[in-house]
Amino acid sequence: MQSRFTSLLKRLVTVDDTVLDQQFTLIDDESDTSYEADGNKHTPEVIDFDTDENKTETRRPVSMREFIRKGTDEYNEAVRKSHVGQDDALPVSIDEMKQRLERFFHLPQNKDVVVREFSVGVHTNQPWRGLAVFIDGMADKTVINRDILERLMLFTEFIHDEPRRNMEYIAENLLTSNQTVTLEKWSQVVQTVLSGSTAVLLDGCNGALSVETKGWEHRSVGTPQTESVVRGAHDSFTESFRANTGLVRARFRSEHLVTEMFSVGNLATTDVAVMYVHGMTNPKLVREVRRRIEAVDVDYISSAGMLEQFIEDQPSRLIPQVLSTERPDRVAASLAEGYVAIFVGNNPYVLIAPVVLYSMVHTSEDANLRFQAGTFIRCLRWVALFVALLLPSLYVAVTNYHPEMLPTDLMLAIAGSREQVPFPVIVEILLMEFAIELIREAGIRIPSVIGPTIGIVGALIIGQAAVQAGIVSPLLVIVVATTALAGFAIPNYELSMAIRITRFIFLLAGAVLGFYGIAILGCVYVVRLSMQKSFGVPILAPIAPSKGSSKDVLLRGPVYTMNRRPVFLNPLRSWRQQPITRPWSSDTGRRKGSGENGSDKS
Amino acid sequence: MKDQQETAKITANQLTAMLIIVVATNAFLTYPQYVSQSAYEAAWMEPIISGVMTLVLFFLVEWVLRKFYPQLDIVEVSKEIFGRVGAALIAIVFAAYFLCTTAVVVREFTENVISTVLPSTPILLVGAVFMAAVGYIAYAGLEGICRTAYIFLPVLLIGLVGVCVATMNWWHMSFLLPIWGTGVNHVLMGSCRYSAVFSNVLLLTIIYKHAHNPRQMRQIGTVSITVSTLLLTFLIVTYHMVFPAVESEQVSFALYRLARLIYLGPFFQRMESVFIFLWVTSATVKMAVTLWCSAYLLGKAFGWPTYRPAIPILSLLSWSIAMWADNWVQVVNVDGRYLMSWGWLIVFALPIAVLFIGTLARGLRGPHDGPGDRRRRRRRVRHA
Repeated sequence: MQSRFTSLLKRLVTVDDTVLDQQFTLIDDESDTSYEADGNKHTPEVIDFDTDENKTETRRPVSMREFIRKGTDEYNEAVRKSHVGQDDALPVSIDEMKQRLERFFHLPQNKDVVVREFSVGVHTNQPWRGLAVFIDGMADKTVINRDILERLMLFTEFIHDEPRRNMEYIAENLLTSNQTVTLEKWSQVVQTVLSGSTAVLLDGCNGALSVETKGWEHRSVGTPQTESVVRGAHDSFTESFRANTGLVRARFRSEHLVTEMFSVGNLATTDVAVMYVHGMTNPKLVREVRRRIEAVDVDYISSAGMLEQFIEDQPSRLIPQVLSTERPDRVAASLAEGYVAIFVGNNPYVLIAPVVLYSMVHTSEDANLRFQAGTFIRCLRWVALFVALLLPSLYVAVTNYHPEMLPTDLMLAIAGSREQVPFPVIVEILLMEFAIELIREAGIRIPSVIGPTIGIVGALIIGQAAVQAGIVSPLLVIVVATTALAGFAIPNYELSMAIRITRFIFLLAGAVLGFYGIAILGCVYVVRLSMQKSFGVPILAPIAPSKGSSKDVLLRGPVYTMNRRPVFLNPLRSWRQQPITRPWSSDTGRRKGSGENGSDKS
Repeated sequence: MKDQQETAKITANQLTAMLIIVVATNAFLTYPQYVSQSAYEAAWMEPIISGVMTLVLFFLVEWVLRKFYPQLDIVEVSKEIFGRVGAALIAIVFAAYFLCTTAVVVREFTENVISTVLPSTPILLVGAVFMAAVGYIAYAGLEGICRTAYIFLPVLLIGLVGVCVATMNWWHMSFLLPIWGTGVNHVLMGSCRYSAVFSNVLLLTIIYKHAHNPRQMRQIGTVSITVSTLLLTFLIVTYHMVFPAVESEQVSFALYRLARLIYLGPFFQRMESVFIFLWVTSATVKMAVTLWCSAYLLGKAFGWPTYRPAIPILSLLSWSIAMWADNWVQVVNVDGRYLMSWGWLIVFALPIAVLFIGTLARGLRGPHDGPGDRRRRRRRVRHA
């Protein structure tokens, strides 16, 4: 007791910083070998980027060309070292194989990589040793047990003398899995295991078998979360890569639909698929998409949103340059028009490239409704877009600079309602916009259990209470609420985000220079947009630059008149349907000018 | 470094839109005042006569360019005829004209803004914002300008026609009498004197090589000159039907004056602020064209790999020139006395003279013997 008291007293009167040393730190972590299991002598090759040979610091002036060349060499050397052993041929001895597996997969610390040792055949005097390697959780154990282990261990009696021939024999006659590939390189084995398949290695064979056993858990196909429609398909992409490609292929049943596969990522690879219609999609577009994806040089890509930022034309622009969708029907329709779809592994969003601004205001529902209704809701969305962008700034401009525009009664009403408000209009509107943005963000992040709370809090903030407190005027509440609603009416989330941010810039312009400022900024914004491109296609096409197109841009034409594919994509086949699609109808069968080129240009 | 503008190819409707806006924007600058002073009740005839004259000259120049100088602009043609130094001098004259036009319009425009909608805002701020926007648009190049013009053309058309139609209840047909105004000779003189607003001919010699399909140039010229002539005429006719001739010559901002009269019931009154979008968008495009032309001509004349670095400098220069005058009256005097009265020399006479001297020289020395021809042939091959 006394010693404890003394200790406390001592700590009060002395400066003792040893407590800092007890804090956790990541510095000098290389000396810590506690994570290694006892007896494990195989450590992975460590690449030290700080050694003299890898230092990029220059001591004497060198030319830029020399500097770049040196940097490239160093980088290539580092990459080469990180792949040491990956391109080697497979060893023949099963012990060596096991040793190498342990080194590459950090065994035995790594508990979810399973190396199953077994003997092939039941009645053999000389047991033929084999290994099945897979990752627990990624592979389907039923398939492994039934189609690999059971077949090889229990039902195999024949053993051929020639090892290589045995491998082929096993693949062709014994293993009943639907996909079996013979592997030659060690890197293929690693990739196979990491992708959820099972690698089968046998003693004496300088090859391995990759057996398709992918079977990790994933969400089943559900309804779209951000692109809901009343009339139309209700399925959406899920986190399963193959399920996503399958959903599109199930709709778009064409032998010309091509799915090219890529792996992106140096540290951990992510599957990326590029889907297009061969013979119809512009080959230059496909090549460009392929080129950009292959050129991505990162450690890890986690989602479609990340890949989008790596492959888009001008990342500094707010307006998205790739369309992101979770609807298989939209992807299928886009493929039919000549676009290219990009799937990213285990991601429920698919990218469509290129994109034009007008596509981002369209929805899948438009095509399912009759053209009058489709045009109406599309017009509504265009109005919503401009309201979301400009209404607050116009309100500030009118009240500050152009009050004469308002009818006298309305102006007096606004002045009367603002009498109690101590702030200028711009402060008032920024407060409310900030509150709305908070509600939007909190509404997304809040757990569903306490979801109703956001409604109550939101109603309190932007409702009568704020007005009664004299913080804002009633008309402003209407303006801000209408703006928020208009923002929600924009179907594309990325575009909606861009509008949200741009709105504040217009608000500032309206507050400083009224209509004049808004008009000037509008000009600059239009020029900026007109020069923006998505995979070589101007984002304002087919209006600026004007190119022929079906009546499916600002408005929506009848489906039986939308005969041409978008010209700005330069597809190899420009007509998607016959000029006369309702020959039986006296009203539409012989439309005026339907037989001539460009009859359906808008 | 490759010339950034070399690859720009503009479609016909975008070029048409750009040319319409460049000419029709004069409707809300001082052009209505000048023609009113010149012809009184017959002021509306002057844009028609100027338009017809421009159309004829446009066809003539287009024919010469198409026949003798395909894929060449006025600076390249000048190089063939007068050599590098001569071409540089001619380009400097054109560039200076465009620069002065930009400066005068900037000042007129900012004075209009100050006097109508932003009376308490410093003119330097208004001008600087405007010039920065114009510089940015010009920096985007001819493609960006023409695309923007195409997008904003409906705003101009609806706005101009709207402001005319909405003042219908103020129209007095008798205000247009006597039909010849100050007399036929004055009308003809005024038409020639103020024809510089139709800068289509000079612009044609600059943008000719950037047309996506040069064969459509005649159509582009016809449509753009006709539409802009009709718009100007319609506005001036309306203006003179609403205000008596003596009063109309006093006002420098006809469109605003008309817009203030719009009364469509108690809710739609004092709509002139709405037309700010019309003035700003059109004036911005017009200024961007003149600024771009100025930079482009200088770049071509002196063989710069790109004209873009010149844009901020020329923006600043034209803004400085614009703010040189002490007051609005000085600006109007300079504009009316020099740019408007003698602008036809540069807009029409000089490019036509250059082309015809070149054609004559080719005729004298034979079709294929000059160094310019060799240069042109090489360029043709490269273009193909």
